Amino acid sequence: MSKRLRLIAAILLFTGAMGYLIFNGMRQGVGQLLTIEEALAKNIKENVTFIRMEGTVDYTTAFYDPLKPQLVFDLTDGSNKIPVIFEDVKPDNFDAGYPIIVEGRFLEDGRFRADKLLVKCPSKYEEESK
Amino acid sequence: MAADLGYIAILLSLVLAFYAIFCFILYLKTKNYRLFDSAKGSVYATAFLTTVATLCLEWLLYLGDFSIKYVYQYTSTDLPWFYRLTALWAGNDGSLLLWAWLLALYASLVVKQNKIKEMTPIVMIILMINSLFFLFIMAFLTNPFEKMTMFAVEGRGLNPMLQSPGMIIHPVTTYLGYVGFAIPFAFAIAALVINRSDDEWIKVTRGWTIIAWMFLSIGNLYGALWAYEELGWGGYWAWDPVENASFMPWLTGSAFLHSVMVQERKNMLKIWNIVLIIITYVLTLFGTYLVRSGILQSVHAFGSSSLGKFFLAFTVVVLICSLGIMFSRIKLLKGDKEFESFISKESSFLLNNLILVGMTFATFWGTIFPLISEAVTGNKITVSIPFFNTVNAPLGLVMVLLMGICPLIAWRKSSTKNLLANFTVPFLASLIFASIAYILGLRKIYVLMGFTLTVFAIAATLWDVVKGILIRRKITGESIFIATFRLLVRNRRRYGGYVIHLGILMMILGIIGSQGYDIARQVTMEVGETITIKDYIITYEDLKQKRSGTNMIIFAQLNVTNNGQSLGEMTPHKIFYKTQKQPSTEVAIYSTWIEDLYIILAGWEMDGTANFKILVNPLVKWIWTGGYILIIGTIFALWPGRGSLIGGKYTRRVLGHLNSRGVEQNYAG
Repeated sequence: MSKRLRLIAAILLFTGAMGYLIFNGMRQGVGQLLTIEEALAKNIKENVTFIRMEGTVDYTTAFYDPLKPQLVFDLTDGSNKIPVIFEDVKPDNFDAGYPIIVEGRFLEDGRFRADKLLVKCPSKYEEESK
Repeated sequence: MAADLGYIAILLSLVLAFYAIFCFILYLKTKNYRLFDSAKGSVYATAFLTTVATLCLEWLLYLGDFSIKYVYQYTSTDLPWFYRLTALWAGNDGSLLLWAWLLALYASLVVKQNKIKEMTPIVMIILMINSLFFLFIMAFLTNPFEKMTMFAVEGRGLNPMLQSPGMIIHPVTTYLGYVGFAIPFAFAIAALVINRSDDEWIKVTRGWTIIAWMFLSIGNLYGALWAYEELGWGGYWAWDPVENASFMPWLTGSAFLHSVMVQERKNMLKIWNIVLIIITYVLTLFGTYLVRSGILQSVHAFGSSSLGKFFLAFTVVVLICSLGIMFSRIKLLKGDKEFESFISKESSFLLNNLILVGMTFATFWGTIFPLISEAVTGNKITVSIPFFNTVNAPLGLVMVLLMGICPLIAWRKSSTKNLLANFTVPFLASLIFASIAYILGLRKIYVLMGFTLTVFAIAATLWDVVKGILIRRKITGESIFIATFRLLVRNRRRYGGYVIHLGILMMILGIIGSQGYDIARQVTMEVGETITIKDYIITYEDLKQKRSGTNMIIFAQLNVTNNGQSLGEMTPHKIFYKTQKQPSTEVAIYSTWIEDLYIILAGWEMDGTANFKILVNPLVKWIWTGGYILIIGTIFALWPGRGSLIGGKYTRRVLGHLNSRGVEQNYAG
């Protein structure tokens, strides 16, 4: 029977280790998902490491300086806008009008500094049926 | 015309799938063999009809018939013909057809082989229910042959990002893998239904499982390669929900491949194996649900569609039914032998299974935690790369250590002497490696640890082969060459597995290297300017444009030398398509065993001043090469004929024969 006990002990140990790893990981890799409206209302939790938002680009405000490189634009949900700054190469499908996901933090001046800018895989993205 | 034919083929195969299920059930009741034959015929017919439907859609895509909505959505007249054909899996409807088609082909192969006569009808019922689901979706919810309501001269075109060799290989192999796991799943459930707890279903489906696993590996790897070369997809792996969706069944599939060996040899872990294959298959369905429901934010997902709830419902039904069947037979599966020792192959296999399942759980948790959080507390959150890395990296390292230890310890119980003989050399080899690496300046502790463990595992694997060769020479007196050849070829299952391990260890070296020591720089250069990054001297010679078909290409000419040696010209470029709003940035990569020089043309001004993003990614080539080795190992292990079925030792072979005969007698009586 002691073998069985040892087996149980080993599995418990493993489960404990898993629990610790997941708990530890959750402190580092969890961000808050906000709509643009919520982000503007400053509903931001203290303990999150980053903020993620989805929206579309207001192309009248978009400006790309390829030599820095720096991309600035307003992220919009149709009615609300948030100025975003992204200091990296402009993704190819940025101009195509597809929804965009940004990850990063708000700067003091209210602009959103994106560390990551993802464009939804557009060919697979099927337009809402009209 | 072709569209009507295709849709009729789908409807007919739906009817025939129903008919096949009906006949198989009747056959089980009446044992009238004509019913079986009739059902078999209708399984073939569904395979034929789904082939017809697939060919119809391919034909329409090839022609560019924009009166069909699917063709309009994913192709255009200027698209090369092979990309027009790949559009079959560019969208939701087409990829469902691909799935149904592959499943129908697999199913007809299974019924043709008819390997375990008493199980085949049940296996087929399970497979046909799955077919039915996909056919039903296509017939009534999202018809790939739907016609356009208005007239269009030109299609919307295939997204430039999908116009890549990756598009030809990645989706198909992933689907081949996904669908392939349906077969061992169906056999496992069938074995339970007819109250059999022996391992014949495992033996019969071994080939299916390994091939499905190989395709899933290739699919994942090609996806990674594609994402690596494509700007904006976050490198080769970003823990995106869709990537996780195909990584999870790969993990549990790997665990299953190992734990079934314990059942074959020791008749243990029966419940565990059933659970693993159920989870693996359910995860493939769940992955499809994730990709198609739009429930999670992902770059790779299909748009949100109403299909999601059907997939979720189907996934849940499959999970509940299969677990239900398992629990109803739980007595049959119990009565496992106990583990005889902690230091034995069985227990190290169990540990490897725990790690793989642990990684699956962590990945699953990270993927769906946003949903749980929102449902429970209303907080919308997202889980990002650091979570997956901090959880999976340590587990991965333990896994690597086990890959070194596992093959070398004996079944049942290992003696100290046995351990010393096996591990002294690999241990010393990894120690020497670590010291040299440290002296050469490798100071990042995690990277050093990771490399050392991987080297240990590689050394242990190779050392075991060397020992085998030496022993064989001693006994037979053969030359080294012949002894090596015969040892490997006559134990293909074992050494094929070793080769796969070596391939995976190579990938792990590549992953650790590329995560631990990458360099990234942004530079702005005028024409004629030169910069130095590491030992690379890069001269920006010119910015030019050229035409390619209807597309315009703007490219930078860079002259690159490394340590004074010319690497020739690199031309990162952007392609401007006629039918697409956005250009496509094509990176230039110079790849060696040490590192990749990876250059992106970010943008330019009218005077020719251009901005580049330049990355140096160490050891990336090892990841892809490891993948090829994995494929070679799989084929080697599966190659039919003498040496492929058993572990090699003649005694085992004899025992195996006795066992299988015993089993037959049991069931005859």
